[in-house]
Amino acid sequence: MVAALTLKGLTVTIAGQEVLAPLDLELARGKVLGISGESGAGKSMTAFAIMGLLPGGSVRRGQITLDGERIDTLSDQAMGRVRGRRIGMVFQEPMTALNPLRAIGSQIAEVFRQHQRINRVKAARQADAVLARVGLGDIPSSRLPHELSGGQRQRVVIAMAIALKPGLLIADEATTALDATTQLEILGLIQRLAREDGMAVMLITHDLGVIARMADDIIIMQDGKAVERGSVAMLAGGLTHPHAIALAEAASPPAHKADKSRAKTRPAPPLLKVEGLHYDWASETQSTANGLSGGLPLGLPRGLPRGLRGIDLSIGEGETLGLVGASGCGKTTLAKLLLGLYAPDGGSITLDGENLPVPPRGGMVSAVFQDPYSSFNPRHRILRLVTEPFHAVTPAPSGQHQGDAAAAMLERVGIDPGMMERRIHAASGGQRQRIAFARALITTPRLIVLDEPVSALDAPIRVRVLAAMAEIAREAGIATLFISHDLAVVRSVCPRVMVMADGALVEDGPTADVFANPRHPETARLVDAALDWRDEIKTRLMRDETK
Amino acid sequence: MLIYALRKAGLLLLSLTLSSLVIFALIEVIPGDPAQFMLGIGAEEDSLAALRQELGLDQPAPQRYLAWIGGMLLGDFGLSYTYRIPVLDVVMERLAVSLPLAGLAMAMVLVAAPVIAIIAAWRHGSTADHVVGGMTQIGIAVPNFWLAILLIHLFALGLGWFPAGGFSGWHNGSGAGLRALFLPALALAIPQIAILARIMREELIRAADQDYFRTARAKGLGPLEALLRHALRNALLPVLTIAGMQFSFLLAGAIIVENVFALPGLGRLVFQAIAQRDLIMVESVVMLLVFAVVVVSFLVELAYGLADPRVRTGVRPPRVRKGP
Repeated sequence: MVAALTLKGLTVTIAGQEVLAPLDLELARGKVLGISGESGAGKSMTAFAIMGLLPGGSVRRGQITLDGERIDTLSDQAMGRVRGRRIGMVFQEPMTALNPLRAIGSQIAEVFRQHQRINRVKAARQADAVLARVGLGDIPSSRLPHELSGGQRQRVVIAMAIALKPGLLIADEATTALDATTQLEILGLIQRLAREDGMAVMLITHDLGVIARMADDIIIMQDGKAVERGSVAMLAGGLTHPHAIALAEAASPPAHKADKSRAKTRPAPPLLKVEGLHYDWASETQSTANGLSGGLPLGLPRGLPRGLRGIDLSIGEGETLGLVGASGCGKTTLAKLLLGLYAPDGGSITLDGENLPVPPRGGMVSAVFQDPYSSFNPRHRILRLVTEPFHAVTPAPSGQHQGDAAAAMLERVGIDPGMMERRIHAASGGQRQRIAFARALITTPRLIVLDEPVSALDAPIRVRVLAAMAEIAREAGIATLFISHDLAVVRSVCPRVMVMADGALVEDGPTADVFANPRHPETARLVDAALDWRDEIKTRLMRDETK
Repeated sequence: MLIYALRKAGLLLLSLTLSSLVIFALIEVIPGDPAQFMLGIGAEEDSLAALRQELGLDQPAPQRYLAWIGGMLLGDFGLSYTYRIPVLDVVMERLAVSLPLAGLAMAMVLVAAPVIAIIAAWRHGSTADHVVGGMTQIGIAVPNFWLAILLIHLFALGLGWFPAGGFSGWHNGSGAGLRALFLPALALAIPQIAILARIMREELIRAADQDYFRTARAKGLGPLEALLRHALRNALLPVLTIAGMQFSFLLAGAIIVENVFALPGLGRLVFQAIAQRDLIMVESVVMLLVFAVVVVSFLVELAYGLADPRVRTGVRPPRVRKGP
């Protein structure tokens, strides 16, 4: 049987620099190949090289064979007949992968119109059929992308990719931006479609959990080279390349070792105390949405935060409390209340025994957010970025003092103070997030709120950044609220965790206990949906044995 | 969409009221007495007073403002101080030249600019793109009176295809009228074409950089197809804004070109009226222009709502998130 896809010595050079070293691979129909590695390892570059959609100025060499036919020699026009018909591609960002101005039905129908000589009506009918196939049968095809949830949008993108039953489906970080439950649904959908149509699937993801669940074979890349390859079973102890091993270790870090000596002594007195906190989101949305449109046509899209109902929590000095929950459960709303960005509708927040003023006094509470790329003003030097929180402190310390504090704090988080005179684009993603920590810590706050602070970072960097941060918080006696959807990260950082569902806290306890013996169905759902590659590979190997 | 339109219409009324106040106040502070100007330096004090009374200039400002606005609402723009005939008649006569002139120029802009922009964006980075870049740079830099003179030399004096200037009215048939307006419209349009084409090219390239454009390419669309179907409409919003401003400018800002081509248009009328202290004429024409500008931007905002369904529902475009 001819392989669906064969690569022989595929290379990509940009401006004379080789960004993809000679790559060989063979992928049979019905099989799933997982490609993993850190960002910039050449994963997506491989996909775009196959599609013939590399950025301008890049040169591709080597053979690409699709179902026994060379496609690397085809003109761009001829490739147009291959793309979308014989190779389908699903992208990372469901929020931006669809044209925001066109109905989803017409965007799917376009695939049929492009590759088949059929009229508008027929194409629309076929688009409806595909929508039903991806599980969106009850969504009118006249919807616009912004009226759908992230998971639904990704189903639309998949619908476009598989509309013409291509032999090869390339999924580039197709589930990275989705929450765990949705991710499972989408992975299941891809699995089902691949089986039904006998598609070969190239699954590109940095998430080894996804690979362990889905892939038959794996390739791990580093700096444009495939450093590890083989059957997925090799994840269970068969990895040999040090980079692959480090990647795997970082993706499933060891659980937090609760400090025994401290656990025995009396727990630290609570620094942050939240009692009966209420917040009604409806008042907020009505004021913004109603005036313009009389409410959204379809009710609120999924994923919009609901209100908070009677939240009680306390965090001790130096303690890191984890907060997990599905998207839209109210995690970020709680964070914004603690930061004084929203005023509560009921209940109290006390910090160090005092009521938290809204907005809080300068420097008492600080935060680090998810996106290290857009949370800095690119025009300012790092010195100014880091010392910015001093603006809120009265009396403001002298410039000399601020500079010294910034240098000390940067050193503390592992950034060379020499970078202070540079601008943020000089820093990598991991460095940026360290700088964000330095900025958050510079006024020695009592409480720091971390909202998905490492989600955008690669696993090995993630572990290092978290370790540095946890140590500083413990030493300085700062109470930390750590919000994340990634249970593995929470397990490694937080001794105690709380689970949130629909605006209420449903579980609270030592992290290992809560995750091992979930008492609330929502916790169980989160634990089930979380893909840890160790568990996944164990389950699969066991299943294979019983066969 | 209806609620959206009504909200915008409310804003339209508000901006009209505010601008009428500003215009009135500005005219109030301009030095110079119309009565003095009309009767000359040596006029007697009591004849001046009589004329002021006749013109209503002796009344307090708020009253004059209300009379002015009330009159305009009823279609009575008052009598020109200089010509002693209704302002409305003069304005309508000029508008018969200025409106077709602006319309013709605008049509040229709306046809030429998108074509140029699409070619440049499609062949982004190629020689064609660079040529377009250079040409539009020149188009913006060249003053349009000089362009006008050049056009007259080439097409009127040299080739004799079009009249060199003047306008004999529409009673000789619309063909002759349009021929008379063609060169001035072209002179007005060229710099605007250059501006709009540059902006539109940028917007198209920006849209072609979006994820959904890549999705379109992955579906098998060619670069030009993807550009026309997935970038054009998305690039239209900023273009609409600029085009709206351009139309207002073409209507009011044609003074120099009107002078070069000896066209009896609105621009020249305002210019003369200011020189002659025909304040009521100035007030009315300026108000009319403001009205046109506000209405055009109202139409642009409505077009926004049609071009982008998210504008209607008040949903902001999604935030772009970068990840691993």
